[in-house]
Amino acid sequence: MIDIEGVSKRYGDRWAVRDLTLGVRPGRVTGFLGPNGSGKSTTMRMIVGLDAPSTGRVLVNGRRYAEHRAPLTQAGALLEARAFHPGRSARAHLQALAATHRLGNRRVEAVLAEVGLTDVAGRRTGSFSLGMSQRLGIAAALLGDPPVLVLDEPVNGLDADGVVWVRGLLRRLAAQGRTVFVSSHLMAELAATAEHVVVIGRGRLVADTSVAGLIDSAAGATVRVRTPERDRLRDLLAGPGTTLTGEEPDLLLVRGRSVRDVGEVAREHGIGLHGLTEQRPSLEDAFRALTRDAVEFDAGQVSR
Amino acid sequence: MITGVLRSEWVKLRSLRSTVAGYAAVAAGLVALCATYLTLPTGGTGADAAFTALLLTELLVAGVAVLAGAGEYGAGTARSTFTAVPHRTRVLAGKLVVHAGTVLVLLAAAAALGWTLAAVAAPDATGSPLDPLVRHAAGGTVLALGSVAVLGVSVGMLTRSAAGALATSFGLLVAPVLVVTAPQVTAYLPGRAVQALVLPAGPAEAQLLAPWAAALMLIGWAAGAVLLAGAVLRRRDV
Repeated sequence: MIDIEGVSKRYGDRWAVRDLTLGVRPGRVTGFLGPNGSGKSTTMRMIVGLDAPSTGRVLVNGRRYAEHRAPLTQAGALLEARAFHPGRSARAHLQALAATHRLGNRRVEAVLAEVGLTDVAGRRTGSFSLGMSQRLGIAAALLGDPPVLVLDEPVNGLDADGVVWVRGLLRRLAAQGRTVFVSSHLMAELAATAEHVVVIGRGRLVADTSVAGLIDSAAGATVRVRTPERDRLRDLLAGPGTTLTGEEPDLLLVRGRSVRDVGEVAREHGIGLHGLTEQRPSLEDAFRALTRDAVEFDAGQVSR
Repeated sequence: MITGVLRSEWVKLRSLRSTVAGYAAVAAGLVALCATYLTLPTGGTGADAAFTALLLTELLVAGVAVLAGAGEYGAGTARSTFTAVPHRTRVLAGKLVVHAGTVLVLLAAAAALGWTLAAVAAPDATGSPLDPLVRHAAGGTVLALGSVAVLGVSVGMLTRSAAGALATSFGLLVAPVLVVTAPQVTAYLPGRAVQALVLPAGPAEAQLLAPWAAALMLIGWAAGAVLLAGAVLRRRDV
């Protein structure tokens, strides 16, 4: 359980996070979405107390993270792929962390096995691929068997097998009743795992909703009609709240009317239809529509 | 909690090849240093050799300590460390105890070995370990190298960069010995304070402090660095 209460964070004269309030509930995977630079990583760092909020507070299981006596058993975090000395072995890195909480070597071996690094645990992490580094970071997050997991872009750099593995792991952790908070800058990446999504843009909350709700809240469906009598149908459908477009002579794109409406109007007036389909916006479209106004570094606006 | 942090820092120390190699070099320097002390009572060039060995050992200790402090930041280990131990000053305390402790344990072992070697190699030129001059040098070295280790770890954690920390600590330790134009200033810097503490019979133009004053200066420098590092660690985002 994570409670972010009115949190803002300023670096110099730039606000990385602005007046953010949200609760992350246990028992489900909550996706944390936003374009690059929208404040996701900053928020996650504040959850585990690495960065201090400029205003507001963040509670993990009812207390500030740093106030817990054994914080690794309250929340585990993967914040950046590489957070370990390249000259130290994966096993030694975990042993050093485990020692702070008197977690034994048995626990270290258990998390190494869980993430599939047992065979390479004695190797220095400098030789690890990005995917292996991600696995080690996840092992560190799991070390204290915490009820809360905060993972920043965990599938970054993983191969296809690794991505499938992470998705399964996230679902398993949530099914065990844990709070799983996972960030990504790609909607599609989370659509398969997250039941709930929080979207931020420019450090502000844009949406806090179920995945289905996110699609609905974005632009509605478009009805795509192919008909030889395009202009007649267009005139019949015209009205307030309806947008009609179509670049080809026999194609009409209708927004604001349901597919059933359009079909009925055509039938009543004896207009022949060669095609009638509904286009739902994809999750990616919904996400981009939501964050369009909030994108700080929009590629289209880069001056040359 | 603090014993856990100590154990964690000990795991970190021994699991890094560079740190282990660094301490091996420190141990070698300490053996040489302890051997040169025994030639002090017999006069001659003993003091010069001892000072060279002292300066080298000091630099090795500072280098290892600085890398232990700054090494947390180079690859982002600090994020893991401070997530596990949000009371960041405990991490600083753990590092100080583990690294200063390692230096002092190595010093004790090296003293025994150095004296044995010197007595076997040149029994005629070797003074007694109980000679006041030797005892003074030995006592001073304990305080000096302990302070240098503390200063190094603190500066490493303060600057968060190996290069910056190495430059800073070498500036404090070597520059005062090389710069001869402003002895009234350099006498108060750690480099000269170590010399005054361990080998008070230094060159007259260096205007060395009295040994007790030098000891206070060194403790002051080390304590100041620790307090500053602690305050900054608490306030600063990782």
